[in-house]
Amino acid sequence: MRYTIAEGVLCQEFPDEAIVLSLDSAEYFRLNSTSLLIWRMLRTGTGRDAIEAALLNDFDASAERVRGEVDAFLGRLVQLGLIREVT
Amino acid sequence: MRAALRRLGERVRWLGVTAEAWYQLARAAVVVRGAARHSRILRDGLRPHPGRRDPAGGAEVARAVARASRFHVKPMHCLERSLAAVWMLRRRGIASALRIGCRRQGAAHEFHAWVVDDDGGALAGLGHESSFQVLTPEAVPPGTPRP
Repeated sequence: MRYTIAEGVLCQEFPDEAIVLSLDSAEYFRLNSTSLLIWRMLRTGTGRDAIEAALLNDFDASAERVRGEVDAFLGRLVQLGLIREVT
Repeated sequence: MRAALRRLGERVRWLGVTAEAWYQLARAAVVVRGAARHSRILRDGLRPHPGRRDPAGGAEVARAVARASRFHVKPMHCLERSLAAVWMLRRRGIASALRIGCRRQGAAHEFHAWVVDDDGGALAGLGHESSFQVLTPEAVPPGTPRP
Protein backbone atom coordinates (compact mmCIF):
# COMPACT_ATOMS: atom_id res chain seq x y z
CA MET A 1 0.00 0.00 0.00
CA ARG A 2 1.37 3.38 -0.95
CA TYR A 3 0.35 6.82 0.15
CA THR A 4 0.77 10.37 -1.03
CA ILE A 5 0.68 13.50 1.07
CA ALA A 6 -2.49 15.44 0.42
CA GLU A 7 -2.56 18.84 -1.21
CA GLY A 8 -2.94 21.73 1.16
CA VAL A 9 -0.65 20.24 3.79
CA LEU A 10 2.26 22.35 5.03
CA CYS A 11 5.15 21.17 7.15
CA GLN A 12 8.04 22.62 9.13
CA GLU A 13 10.65 20.42 10.77
CA PHE A 14 12.30 21.31 14.06
CA PRO A 15 15.23 19.43 15.63
CA ASP A 16 13.13 16.75 17.30
CA GLU A 17 9.63 17.25 15.93
CA ALA A 18 7.65 18.65 13.07
CA ILE A 19 4.52 20.74 12.70
CA VAL A 20 2.05 19.75 10.00
CA LEU A 21 -0.68 22.22 9.10
CA SER A 22 -3.74 21.24 7.11
CA LEU A 23 -5.27 24.10 5.18
CA ASP A 24 -8.40 22.03 4.61
CA SER A 25 -9.20 21.54 8.27
CA ALA A 26 -7.28 24.59 9.57
CA GLU A 27 -5.74 22.31 12.20
CA TYR A 28 -2.11 21.71 12.99
CA PHE A 29 -0.51 18.57 14.30
CA ARG A 30 2.75 17.88 16.06
CA LEU A 31 4.83 14.91 14.93
CA ASN A 32 7.26 13.48 17.45
CA SER A 33 10.58 12.03 16.34
CA THR A 34 9.17 8.60 15.45
CA SER A 35 6.18 9.89 13.53
CA LEU A 36 8.47 12.38 11.80
CA LEU A 37 10.58 9.46 10.64
CA ILE A 38 7.48 7.90 9.07
CA TRP A 39 6.40 11.24 7.59
CA ARG A 40 9.77 11.65 5.88
CA MET A 41 9.38 8.19 4.35
CA LEU A 42 5.87 9.03 3.17
CA ARG A 43 7.26 12.17 1.58
CA THR A 44 9.55 10.08 -0.62
CA GLY A 45 6.76 7.69 -1.59
CA THR A 46 7.91 4.82 0.61
CA GLY A 47 5.26 2.12 0.84
CA ARG A 48 3.69 0.78 4.00
CA ASP A 49 5.73 -2.44 4.06
CA ALA A 50 9.01 -0.59 3.65
CA ILE A 51 8.06 1.77 6.47
CA GLU A 52 7.36 -1.19 8.73
CA ALA A 53 10.68 -2.79 7.77
CA ALA A 54 12.58 0.42 8.48
CA LEU A 55 11.01 0.77 11.93
CA LEU A 56 11.70 -2.87 12.76
CA ASN A 57 15.32 -2.20 11.89
CA ASP A 58 15.54 0.96 14.03
CA PHE A 59 13.51 0.01 17.07
CA ASP A 60 13.63 -2.82 19.52
CA ALA A 61 10.01 -3.92 19.28
CA SER A 62 8.12 -6.97 18.08
CA ALA A 63 7.00 -7.18 14.47
CA GLU A 64 3.42 -7.43 15.61
CA ARG A 65 3.64 -4.26 17.67
CA VAL A 66 5.35 -2.31 14.91
CA ARG A 67 2.76 -3.47 12.38
CA GLY A 68 -0.07 -2.39 14.65
CA GLU A 69 1.47 1.00 15.41
CA VAL A 70 2.22 1.72 11.77
CA ASP A 71 -1.29 0.72 10.68
CA ALA A 72 -2.83 2.86 13.41
CA PHE A 73 -0.66 5.88 12.57
CA LEU A 74 -1.22 5.68 8.82
CA GLY A 75 -4.92 5.15 9.37
CA ARG A 76 -5.05 8.23 11.55
CA LEU A 77 -3.22 10.32 8.94
CA VAL A 78 -5.72 9.18 6.30
CA GLN A 79 -8.60 9.98 8.63
CA LEU A 80 -7.23 13.47 9.24
CA GLY A 81 -6.91 14.02 5.50
CA LEU A 82 -3.15 14.50 5.66
CA ILE A 83 -2.34 11.58 3.36
CA ARG A 84 -4.23 9.65 0.71
CA GLU A 85 -3.96 6.05 -0.38
CA VAL A 86 -2.57 5.62 -3.85
CA THR A 87 -3.90 2.75 -5.95
CA MET B 1 -4.79 75.63 -8.06
CA ARG B 2 -2.88 72.82 -9.73
CA ALA B 3 -1.20 71.88 -6.47
CA ALA B 4 -4.57 71.87 -4.69
CA LEU B 5 -6.03 69.58 -7.35
CA ARG B 6 -3.03 67.32 -7.10
CA ARG B 7 -3.44 67.11 -3.34
CA LEU B 8 -7.14 66.39 -3.79
CA GLY B 9 -6.34 63.68 -6.30
CA GLU B 10 -3.84 62.11 -3.90
CA ARG B 11 -6.40 62.25 -1.11
CA VAL B 12 -9.06 60.54 -3.27
CA ARG B 13 -6.58 57.92 -4.35
CA TRP B 14 -5.57 57.33 -0.71
CA LEU B 15 -9.22 56.89 0.25
CA GLY B 16 -9.76 54.53 -2.68
CA VAL B 17 -6.83 52.29 -1.76
CA THR B 18 -7.92 52.23 1.88
CA ALA B 19 -11.47 51.34 0.87
CA GLU B 20 -10.18 48.55 -1.31
CA ALA B 21 -8.08 47.28 1.60
CA TRP B 22 -11.16 47.41 3.86
CA TYR B 23 -13.12 45.30 1.38
CA GLN B 24 -10.30 42.78 0.88
CA LEU B 25 -9.92 42.41 4.66
CA ALA B 26 -13.62 41.59 4.96
CA ARG B 27 -13.27 39.05 2.18
CA ALA B 28 -10.20 37.55 3.85
CA ALA B 29 -12.07 37.25 7.15
CA VAL B 30 -14.80 35.24 5.42
CA VAL B 31 -12.24 32.98 3.73
CA VAL B 32 -10.30 32.36 6.92
CA ARG B 33 -13.45 31.63 8.90
CA GLY B 34 -14.56 29.11 6.30
CA ALA B 35 -11.10 27.61 5.89
CA ALA B 36 -12.41 24.11 5.28
CA ARG B 37 -14.35 25.28 2.26
CA HIS B 38 -11.88 27.83 1.03
CA SER B 39 -8.56 26.07 1.43
CA ARG B 40 -8.10 26.32 -2.34
CA ILE B 41 -7.96 30.10 -1.91
CA LEU B 42 -5.32 29.79 0.79
CA ARG B 43 -3.32 27.37 -1.37
CA ASP B 44 -3.50 29.78 -4.26
CA GLY B 45 -2.20 32.54 -2.00
CA LEU B 46 0.80 30.40 -1.08
CA ARG B 47 1.82 29.89 -4.72
CA PRO B 48 4.23 32.50 -6.07
CA HIS B 49 2.42 34.86 -8.38
CA PRO B 50 4.51 36.36 -11.18
CA GLY B 51 4.71 40.09 -11.51
CA ARG B 52 7.00 43.10 -11.31
CA ARG B 53 9.05 44.14 -8.33
CA ASP B 54 7.58 47.31 -6.88
CA PRO B 55 8.71 48.10 -3.34
CA ALA B 56 6.88 51.44 -3.36
CA GLY B 57 3.65 49.82 -4.54
CA GLY B 58 4.06 47.06 -1.99
CA ALA B 59 4.61 49.59 0.78
CA GLU B 60 1.51 51.53 -0.25
CA VAL B 61 -0.59 48.36 -0.09
CA ALA B 62 0.89 47.47 3.29
CA ARG B 63 0.05 50.93 4.66
CA ALA B 64 -3.50 50.73 3.30
CA VAL B 65 -4.08 47.31 4.83
CA ALA B 66 -2.70 48.46 8.18
CA ARG B 67 -4.89 51.56 8.06
CA ALA B 68 -8.05 49.68 7.05
CA SER B 69 -7.53 46.95 9.62
CA ARG B 70 -7.46 49.55 12.42
CA PHE B 71 -10.98 50.66 11.51
CA HIS B 72 -12.60 47.34 10.70
CA VAL B 73 -15.56 45.58 12.29
CA LYS B 74 -13.22 43.26 14.18
CA PRO B 75 -9.50 43.05 14.91
CA MET B 76 -7.83 41.61 11.80
CA HIS B 77 -5.08 39.11 12.45
CA CYS B 78 -1.99 38.44 10.39
CA LEU B 79 -3.51 35.86 8.01
CA GLU B 80 -6.42 38.12 7.09
CA ARG B 81 -4.13 41.13 6.61
CA SER B 82 -1.68 39.10 4.54
CA LEU B 83 -4.41 37.59 2.34
CA ALA B 84 -5.90 41.01 1.71
CA ALA B 85 -2.46 42.37 0.83
CA VAL B 86 -1.70 39.49 -1.58
CA TRP B 87 -4.97 40.05 -3.43
CA MET B 88 -4.34 43.77 -3.71
CA LEU B 89 -0.76 43.24 -4.89
CA ARG B 90 -1.83 40.76 -7.54
CA ARG B 91 -4.46 43.14 -8.84
CA ARG B 92 -1.62 45.63 -9.33
CA GLY B 93 0.61 43.09 -11.09
CA ILE B 94 3.14 43.07 -8.24
CA ALA B 95 4.86 39.74 -7.54
CA SER B 96 3.74 38.31 -4.23
CA ALA B 97 3.07 35.16 -2.27
CA LEU B 98 1.63 34.36 1.11
CA ARG B 99 3.83 32.70 3.72
CA ILE B 100 2.78 30.89 6.89
CA GLY B 101 5.41 30.25 9.53
CA CYS B 102 5.76 28.59 12.89
CA ARG B 103 8.00 28.98 15.91
CA ARG B 104 8.28 27.24 19.22
CA GLN B 105 7.62 29.15 22.40
CA GLY B 106 8.51 26.71 25.13
CA ALA B 107 6.14 23.79 24.77
CA ALA B 108 3.70 25.75 22.63
CA HIS B 109 3.73 26.71 18.96
CA GLU B 110 2.93 30.08 17.46
CA PHE B 111 1.94 30.78 13.88
CA HIS B 112 2.25 33.86 11.74
CA ALA B 113 1.43 34.89 8.16
CA TRP B 114 3.17 37.48 6.00
CA VAL B 115 3.76 38.38 2.37
CA VAL B 116 6.90 37.98 0.26
CA ASP B 117 7.93 39.25 -3.15
CA ASP B 118 9.33 37.12 -5.98
CA ASP B 119 12.75 36.96 -4.32
CA GLY B 120 11.25 35.64 -1.13
CA GLY B 121 11.95 38.89 0.70
CA ALA B 122 9.27 39.95 3.16
CA LEU B 123 7.29 43.01 2.16
CA ALA B 124 7.82 45.79 4.65
CA GLY B 125 4.90 46.84 6.78
CA LEU B 126 3.15 43.47 6.84
CA GLY B 127 4.58 42.29 10.12
CA HIS B 128 7.13 39.72 9.13
CA GLU B 129 9.28 38.35 11.95
CA SER B 130 12.36 36.34 11.13
CA SER B 131 11.94 34.04 14.14
CA PHE B 132 9.12 32.24 12.34
CA GLN B 133 10.20 29.37 10.09
CA VAL B 134 8.26 28.98 6.87
CA LEU B 135 5.87 26.05 6.60
CA THR B 136 6.45 24.57 3.16
CA PRO B 137 3.77 22.83 1.08
CA GLU B 138 4.30 19.09 0.96
CA ALA B 139 2.42 18.38 -2.28
CA VAL B 140 3.75 20.82 -4.84
CA PRO B 141 2.40 20.96 -8.42
CA PRO B 142 5.14 20.21 -10.97
CA GLY B 143 7.21 23.22 -11.92
CA THR B 144 6.30 25.25 -8.84
CA PRO B 145 9.41 26.60 -7.08
CA ARG B 146 9.51 25.89 -3.37
CA PRO B 147 9.73 28.87 -1.01
